[in-house]
Amino acid sequence: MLHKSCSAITKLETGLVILVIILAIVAGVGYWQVSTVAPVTTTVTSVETRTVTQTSTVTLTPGATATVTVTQPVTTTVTATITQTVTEPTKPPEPIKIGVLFPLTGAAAPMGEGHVKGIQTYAYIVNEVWGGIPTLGGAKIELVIADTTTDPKVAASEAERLITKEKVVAILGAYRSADTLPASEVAERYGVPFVASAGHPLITGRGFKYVFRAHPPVVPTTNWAVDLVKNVMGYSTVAVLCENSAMGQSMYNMSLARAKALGLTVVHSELYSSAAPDLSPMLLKVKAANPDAIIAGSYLTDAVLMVKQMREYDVNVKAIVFIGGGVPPEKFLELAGKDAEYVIITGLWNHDSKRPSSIEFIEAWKKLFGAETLPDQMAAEAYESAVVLVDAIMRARSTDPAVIRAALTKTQLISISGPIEFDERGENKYGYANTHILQVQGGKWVTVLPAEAATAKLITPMPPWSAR
Amino acid sequence: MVKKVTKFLLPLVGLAALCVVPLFITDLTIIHILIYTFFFAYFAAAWNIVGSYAGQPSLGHAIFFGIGGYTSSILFINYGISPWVGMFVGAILAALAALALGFPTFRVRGPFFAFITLAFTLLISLLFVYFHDYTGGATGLPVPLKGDAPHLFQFNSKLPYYYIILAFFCVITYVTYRLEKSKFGYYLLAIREDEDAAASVGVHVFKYKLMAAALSGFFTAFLGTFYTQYTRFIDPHEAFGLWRTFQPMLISVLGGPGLWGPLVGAAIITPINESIIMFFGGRYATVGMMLYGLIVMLIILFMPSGIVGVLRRVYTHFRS
Amino acid sequence: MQELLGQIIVQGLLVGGIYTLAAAGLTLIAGVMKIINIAHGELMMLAMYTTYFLYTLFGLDPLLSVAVTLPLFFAIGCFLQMFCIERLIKGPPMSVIIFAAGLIFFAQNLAATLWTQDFRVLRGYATTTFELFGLRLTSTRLAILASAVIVIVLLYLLLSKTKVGRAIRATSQNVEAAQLMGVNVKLIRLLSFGLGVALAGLAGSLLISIYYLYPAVGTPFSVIALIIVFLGGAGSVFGALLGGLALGIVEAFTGFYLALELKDIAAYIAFIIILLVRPWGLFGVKE
Repeated sequence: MLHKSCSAITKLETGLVILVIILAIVAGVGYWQVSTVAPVTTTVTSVETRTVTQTSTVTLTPGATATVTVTQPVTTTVTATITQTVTEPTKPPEPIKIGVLFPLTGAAAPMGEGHVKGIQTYAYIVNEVWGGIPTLGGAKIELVIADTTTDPKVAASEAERLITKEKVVAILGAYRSADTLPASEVAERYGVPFVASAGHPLITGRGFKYVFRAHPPVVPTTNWAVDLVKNVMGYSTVAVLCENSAMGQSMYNMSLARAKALGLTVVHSELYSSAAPDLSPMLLKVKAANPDAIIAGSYLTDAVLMVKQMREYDVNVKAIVFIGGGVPPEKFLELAGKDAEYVIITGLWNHDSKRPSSIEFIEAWKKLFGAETLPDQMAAEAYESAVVLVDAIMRARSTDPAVIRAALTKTQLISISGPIEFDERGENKYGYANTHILQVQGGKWVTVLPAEAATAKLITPMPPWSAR
Repeated sequence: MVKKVTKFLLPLVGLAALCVVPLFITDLTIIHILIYTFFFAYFAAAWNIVGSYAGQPSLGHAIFFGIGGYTSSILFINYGISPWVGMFVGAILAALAALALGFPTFRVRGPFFAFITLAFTLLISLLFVYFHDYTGGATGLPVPLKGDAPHLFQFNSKLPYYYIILAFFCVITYVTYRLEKSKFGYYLLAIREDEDAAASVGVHVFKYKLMAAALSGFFTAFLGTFYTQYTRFIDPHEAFGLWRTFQPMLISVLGGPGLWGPLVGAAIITPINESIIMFFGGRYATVGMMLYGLIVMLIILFMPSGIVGVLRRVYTHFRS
Repeated sequence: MQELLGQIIVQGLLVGGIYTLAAAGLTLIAGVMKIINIAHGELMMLAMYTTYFLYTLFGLDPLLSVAVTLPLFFAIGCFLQMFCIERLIKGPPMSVIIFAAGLIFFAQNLAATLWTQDFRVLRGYATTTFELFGLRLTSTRLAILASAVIVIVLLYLLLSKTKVGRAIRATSQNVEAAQLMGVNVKLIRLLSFGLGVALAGLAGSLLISIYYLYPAVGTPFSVIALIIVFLGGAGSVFGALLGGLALGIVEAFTGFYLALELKDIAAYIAFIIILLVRPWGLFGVKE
């Protein structure tokens, strides 16, 4: 008897199941968006000439007695007669969609915000100051901004959405290495250029063709940090403390390797979670080990917590060097307050830079975001990636991602941090040379190295907490 | 004879319909939604073995999912072993993990299995981050791109994944069906209804609970491998996160117990979920998640037998 | 190294205070209603957000905001008990667990939707560090340890000296007998659950002064509170105190001698050990 009613109910259930599935498919079809582009043809002739010449002096190794000067004239002359067939008369060229994929919410939101603003600054320069991209008939850049929510899965699906639904020609992103790795993999799969603002070595280490990186990533900045402690400051012992996500792990491995190569003794090394509310067990061990300096690979909140707890537990060292990338300098200063004094950070740029391109950057920023505000490294990093991308689009004279990609490989320009030229992995050859060293002095960030960019002298050893 | 045919006819017709769907629907978004529907349905069905049939809800099925995904990925990345093989290795490890978790908890009266599984999703996440040299740590592991490589469980197109998850679902449904009708299934039913009475008639409660847990973990691990191969990426958050561990329970509670509950639950939730994500971007996913939590709370309060239960009552009402 | 040992123990005690506060409410509920509210941590998280906004918008010191969160969360607890929990405990025991799981998910994502995943810290909240016998102590953590001890003592007094307290204990030990003695068990359940959630609110208010705040911050606390309730025995307030302090110290040593990353492992190992060693379960001690 039980069996009879069982099979009857099974019949109903399966029928219902099929019905539900059909409904689901119908619902899905209902959400299906179809976009059609009507072909347009008119005839337009335009001529554009732009010549850019810059030189730069570059020091390749710190503390070395010989200074190699590289004078690099970069001349870009663009003279083009463009005959386009467009049927609709007096229609402005289609805007060029560029995907901007950064964390707008989540733990990395403060850093993501800086990046987006940096890109918006350059877009402003291109659209308003230049009047659009000259070689593409004054086509303006349209930024399609997406939020990774500091989550790799979301980063990947957003990248996919930007490519397949928004039809962007390239993507700039994604700040956090853990989010950038999957997002750039999506871009590679679809054949869309991805100019990364994230530090992990693996981003350009996967043999991908479409991923590029202009700013100095983890490898050179970490090496610089170690070189600074050993060669420049002349110390012999160091503690390496890094947060345990992709970024921190790579900094950790790299610092230990470089320290070993230079003969710098690592008296304590540890990974910690950037969400940990209490770093005292680790800091107490550091206190016991008594290193000359600390090299740290952190994000913002843990960096602030670290200096704060160092003061609380009276952990004194001669220098604290943060490997930049995870720490937005201005926000760090704001949150850490007096504890930030004498802290050193590696970076690619500082607002005391005298380069003309840097001044242009700062002025555009102020116009967009207010005269009392200043861009920081996060914004600079993203600004630079935008510069590189737009330069490539200009030379490509096309919105075909594959053509843009080819143009990217031939990049040769000098930006706010220095020269940019990509190797076969998509990495900037001048990463090490473009790294700057900043320090907090008198409540402000100043550039102390390299010598040509320095506006102040490095102060070390720093006074103990009790003496401040 | 006629009854037997009708019992199997409708599911088979449904299956045939699903198989030919890709001939008519070419929008990948729809295929993606269908893949996730069967993904969720499978997950809930596997969870049901221990959560529903044995009456031991687990709050940590992400553990088995993650073990499956990580095992096949680590074996693939380090030793070149095909994920098809790694999948089974992962499943065995997951079954062992289920036994390990069940051993201290099934001996004791009370929802300890739920507690220990919840605690262990946090613990295993911690361990996977700590031993980063072996597991990729918080970064996770990207699956090496091999393009179209069926023997390596990788395809450029979404369609093969669709057929695979469909096949997986058929397998788990069949397993559940046989379970329901078997002696094992009846023992589990007895244990769920009244443990003491079952024990008094000689049912080895402890042993059968463990078997259910192991079976459930075993099948869940397959899903972990599938997901990793589909998204080509795994990290502790994806594998062991709260959403992952909550998913099967949500679908199961919504759909209701029984053979088709998981599919009903999945078929309702998935299109809504994916549409929210596609439409509004990842940012508003939390709104959907909030709703799911609310749905579970409301269903357990007012409709504890889920949608299927409601439908059954409606059906019997109309019959009489 | 000697002074470091002392410092580690002190750190452990201070953290233990935090854990005790987290577990206090849970053990009360567990004792009376024989259920573990695994969403306890999420309720703490909501209290943390409440306190955070009271501080950021009105400048109310977290210690003072307890005056707001305590009654607010008591009300929330009573609401939950009246409309949800009371219904569920009549049914299969797993229903409560499933409901709580749904609540965890709902609460976490509610927080994420309303307030995003951004980490929040009390800005400009002054903490002083002072030295005592060569040990460094921070004012906020000391305040929490002190609060934990005070709460436990007050709870103990409530349970042993007042009529309500005796009724609570009676209900914990034997529901039928208590009913026969004239205790309104339904009301007692309501009060206990309300009080338990109120204590979660209290804990949250105090913890925001030390912890970063983000939607997922509550779940580990649920697990830790759960473990301490096992350690100390359900319904035992001194058990919660001792269990919390013990766990704190073990964790401090683990964090120092093993690795900061592995600090949390101590709690989970403790959990397994208890389950293996005391297999008669949570409520077996009283029966």
